[in-house]
Amino acid sequence: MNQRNPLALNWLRRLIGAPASRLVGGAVFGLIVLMCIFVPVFSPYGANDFVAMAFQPPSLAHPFGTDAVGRDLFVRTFEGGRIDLVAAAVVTAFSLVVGTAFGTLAGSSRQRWLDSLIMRIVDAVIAFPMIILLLALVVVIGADAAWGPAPPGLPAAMIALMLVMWAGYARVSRGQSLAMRDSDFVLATRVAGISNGGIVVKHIAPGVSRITLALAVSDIVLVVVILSSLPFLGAGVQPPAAEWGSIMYEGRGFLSQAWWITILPGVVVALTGLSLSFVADSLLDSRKK
Amino acid sequence: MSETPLLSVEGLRVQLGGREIIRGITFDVGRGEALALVGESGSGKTVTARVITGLIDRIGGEVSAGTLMFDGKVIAQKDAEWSALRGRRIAMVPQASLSSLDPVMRIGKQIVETIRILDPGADSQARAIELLEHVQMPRPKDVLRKFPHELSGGMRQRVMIALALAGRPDLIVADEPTTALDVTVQASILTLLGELRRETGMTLLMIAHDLAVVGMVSERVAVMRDGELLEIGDTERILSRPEHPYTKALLAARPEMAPPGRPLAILNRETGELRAPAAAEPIPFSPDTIATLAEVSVTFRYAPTPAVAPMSLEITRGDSLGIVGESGSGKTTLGRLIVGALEPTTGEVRIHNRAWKEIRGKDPLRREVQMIFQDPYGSLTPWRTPRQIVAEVLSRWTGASARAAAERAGELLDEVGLPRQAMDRLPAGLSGGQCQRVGIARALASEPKLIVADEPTSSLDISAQAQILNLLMRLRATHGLSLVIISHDLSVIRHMTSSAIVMKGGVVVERGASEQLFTAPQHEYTQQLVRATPRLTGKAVA
Repeated sequence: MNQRNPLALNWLRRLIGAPASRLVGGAVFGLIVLMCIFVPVFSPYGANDFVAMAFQPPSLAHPFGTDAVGRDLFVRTFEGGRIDLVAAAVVTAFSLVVGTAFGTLAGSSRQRWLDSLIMRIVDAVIAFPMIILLLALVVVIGADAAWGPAPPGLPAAMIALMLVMWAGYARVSRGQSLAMRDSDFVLATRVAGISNGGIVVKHIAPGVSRITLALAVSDIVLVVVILSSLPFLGAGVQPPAAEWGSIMYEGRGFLSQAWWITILPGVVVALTGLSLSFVADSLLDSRKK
Repeated sequence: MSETPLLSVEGLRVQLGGREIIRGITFDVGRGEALALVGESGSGKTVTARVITGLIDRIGGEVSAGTLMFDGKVIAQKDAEWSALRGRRIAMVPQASLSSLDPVMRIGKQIVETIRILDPGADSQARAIELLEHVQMPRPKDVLRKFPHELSGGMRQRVMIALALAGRPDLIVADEPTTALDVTVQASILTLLGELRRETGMTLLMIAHDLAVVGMVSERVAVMRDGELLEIGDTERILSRPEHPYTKALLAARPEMAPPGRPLAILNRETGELRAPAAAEPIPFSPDTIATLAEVSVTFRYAPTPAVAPMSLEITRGDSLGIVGESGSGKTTLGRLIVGALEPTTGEVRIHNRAWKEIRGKDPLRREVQMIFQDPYGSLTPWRTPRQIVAEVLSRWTGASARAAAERAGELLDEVGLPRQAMDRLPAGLSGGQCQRVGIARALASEPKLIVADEPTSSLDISAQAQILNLLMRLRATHGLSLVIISHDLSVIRHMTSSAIVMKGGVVVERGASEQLFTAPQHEYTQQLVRATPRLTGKAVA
């Protein structure tokens, strides 16, 4: 029963307790989201305004200091959070829906060939190195192609992530629905004459999505981390757009002189990851049996 | 022998999860005596056993009052003394289950490990074999090299008893030692416990939910309910002249206590009145054939022998047919064949002269045959409420609007006795008996002519069993149903059905009138089953 894979630091979880962990996680994450919404709105300067001297350390006027060209890092960090969080939410939601749908279909279908077909595609996707796929897509789409509101570089990264991430959900969903397909309650429903479609939609899919939804919450963290690591590979969101990864990437050369450029946005990324993990963990705790 | 009892519990109170679940119980167990604690789920019998083995703090409970005396000395919970007592003076035999033994350690190593701790001077190999011989294990040397999953449930239970005997304890606490075992295996384990008592003079405290099982091992019985001890006395007296109304109700709830086909007496907890409901008036119907099985057999892939050997069967409207057998007899497979949940390997199952494989989709013949399952929780979708579950079936077959179906579902659930406030709760919040009622309502929703009930009461308490059996009997009359009841319990079959078949290893070994199978069994295996079935005789084996 205790073979759960802990996502958040276990000792920390035990320290603050299970229900509290959801509360604390939710509160911290909520605060970060609110800051991302309101800081750029109420700030006197925009993310790309040159507002002060370069390399100003954190002060009351500029809580996170300024970067190499004198932009306010506090505004840039939370402006960047908008991109990261929205992109992560879109990528995860897409993967969740597509992955759960295909996985449940594969797992509950009585057609062996359909199951095999879907799962071999899933295997191929998972086996393919994600970073290579990503770099290839960046080349195809163009590193600085901007689509709609998405800044240059983001569409390529998002499409690549979506193409890969759904497969994980498909695999989990298939396992869950396979187990449920042979359960007494599905047999009982079938004997009662309910159609296959009805069984999948009302009796199998809700059970599958209880698990995949909790997984998705924890995956948002993963997407945020991947998105903000991409600039280090020359992909991802391109400057001058503010994004967590690109801000930290720009600061990496000045770590010894101006640590705040990398460290303070990094702390926000870490807090986002940790708080979401707490929420996801307590969700899994209450849903997995 | 001294006059002080070996174990003496006085005014024991236990708190668990903020509730008092043991409310001041007092009893003694004399040296060499056997006492059985009997009660239904939630009565506190297992918690009491935990206190006596010093394990109550492991499940988060706390003794708030009372004393526990063992061999004339008061023992405090959480005391270092326990390590000197546990295993050496007081040993425990848990429920027969795979989880009680380490799955990745050979039996021999597990026994030797225990001997080394409890009996350091002994030649552990020789002692391990001696212990296994003691519990009458066939070929003990071979068993030492086996893993737990390679042994049958009965053999595993013998290993558990051998482990308990390793420290030569004075008192053995056996917590439901035969639950989940087949009746014939159960009888052999109970006989073994009786013989061990005679040989070693050990004292036995047995926890059980079945009064009839108790009669086979212990001279004294204590009946518990809701953390209170209601009645304690000689087994023979309790079984023949119970004083407390609850004990009377427990006895009256046994299927053999009412004439076959008559409702069982149920205790009304508000009035304390014990009464059997009136038998329902059967509705008239024409007795036409519903299901025909012609030379049907099932062989699972990779299985060396068929799960069901070729057999034929005919079920007419109004019939009540019992299928009896132990685990692995193929009775569940046969049940699934009848409801069309499984395709036969050879032969055909025909419903009103159409084979199951021709009955697809919304074919009205699908409505005719329904099923009730053994596991009350497992057969209900965990994220759907009883009303949703029943309404879905109703709207599928009647085409009623969502609201009309929900309303009609409420009426059906009311008919099977589900409380109104339970109708919109998820199954996890219901009791086992309530879940079973929902399963019955779902089966009724399509207005079937035949219901196959696969062990409908084997995971329920005895009083819940009586209620469910009464309900099935009433519905059979008022809906003109035929009933197929699959059970390992001969007394349920005898009470509920007019004819029955006995299965063993996929083969039908005997068929005939249920009453006759019970009173004058012909086949050797049926005779064995009848002998092994616990009865309220009040005679201990020892």
